[in-house]
Amino acid sequence: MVSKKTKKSKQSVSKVQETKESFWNLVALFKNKKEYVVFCLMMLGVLSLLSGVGLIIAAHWAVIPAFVRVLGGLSVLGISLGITGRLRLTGWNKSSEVALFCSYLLIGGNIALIQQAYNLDISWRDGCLLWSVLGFPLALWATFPLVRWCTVVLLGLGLWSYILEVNHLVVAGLLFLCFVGTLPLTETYWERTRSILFWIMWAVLFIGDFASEQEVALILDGAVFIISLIGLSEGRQLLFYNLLFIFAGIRVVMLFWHAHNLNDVGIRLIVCGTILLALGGLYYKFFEKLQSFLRKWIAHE
Amino acid sequence: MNKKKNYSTYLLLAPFLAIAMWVCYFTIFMEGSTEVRLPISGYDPRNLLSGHYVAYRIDWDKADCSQADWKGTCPIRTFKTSGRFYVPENSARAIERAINRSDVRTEIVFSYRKGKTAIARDLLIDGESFRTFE
Repeated sequence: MVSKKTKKSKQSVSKVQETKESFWNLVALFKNKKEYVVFCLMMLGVLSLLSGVGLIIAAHWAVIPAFVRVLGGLSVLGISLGITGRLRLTGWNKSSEVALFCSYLLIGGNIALIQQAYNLDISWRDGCLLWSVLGFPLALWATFPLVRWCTVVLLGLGLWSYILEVNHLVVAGLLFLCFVGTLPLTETYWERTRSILFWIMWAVLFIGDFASEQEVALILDGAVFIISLIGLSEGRQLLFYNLLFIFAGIRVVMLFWHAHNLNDVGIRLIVCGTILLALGGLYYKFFEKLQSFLRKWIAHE
Repeated sequence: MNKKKNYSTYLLLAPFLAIAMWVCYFTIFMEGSTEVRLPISGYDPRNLLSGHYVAYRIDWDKADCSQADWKGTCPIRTFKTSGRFYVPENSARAIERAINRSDVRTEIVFSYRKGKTAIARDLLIDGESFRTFE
């Protein structure tokens, strides 16, 4: 008697779980032949309803006050993010990844909407940078590389165009090449926590390139690029080289930021040279220790 | 594990909150601001990504500097010299034609607050809002 009850309760629990899962997993619902007609009807209904609402909004778009438009966009983003979170917590990673990408697109849409509603003069490069910054938390959450790549490309485009604006086309082109060269590296080494540091440093280095002493930063960028390529061909631990050079690059850019004359540049060059030599010496001395540490670190990842 | 999951869920809220705060800023800014009118000259380029907008340039020579609390000196730095004003697609042509006429007075109504960048809120053609154009 007891066992029958337990069986029944187990069955009911599994049924509840099934319905829950099938509710959130549309593909599973579609595959279930019994639910096929219901699913088709529901989907058609939802699609026609959404298109209807969309058309009505489009027809009266100009009449709708700016605040209501923005609020509408924000609500859609909120719903999309809510669905993304719900799907992920329910365990439907593939579906949540699609929802995540939709949310990512909606962030861009919201930026454009706010720009239009409040007549802001946001250039496309500022838009790219803003989008990449606002979408960064989603990139951290993503399992598939699509959203991360979008963030990387938007950030790169935004920063590159900033560099282009300072009228150094060759420098900008080479910098972008450096940037493109490190994309595969980022993809290979992308790990949620450590990559934040990696990307912050990259961003600082690129922003540092706006300084007048771009050539120095360019040399470092070039070095990072070449070493990255060597790293790709040889093995995985070369991320360390990248970090080392980026650190050095940031230091150099910071030092050169306020140089006004040749004397200033000379002093800064001496300081930079000393720092680089010290880094090189440390690296030479602790090479084996660092290598073993790095191997352990990568194995842990 | 659950804690980690919950923690990362908060990450999703970050872009939403950032955009919401941005919108709040504009709303509060516009609520507590003074309206000022400035004459403009402009044209209507097309931007496939942003829809239709009037790219304007403020004509400071013709501006009334006795508005708000300006006391005869226009706060030029508070305003961007040029900007965009978005208009509905179906009335863009009519607005473009009107702006290009030399006998028409074109103005932008700004939400102004001392020390803050002003925000354009309406486009006036001969004193009438662009919303009346079809």
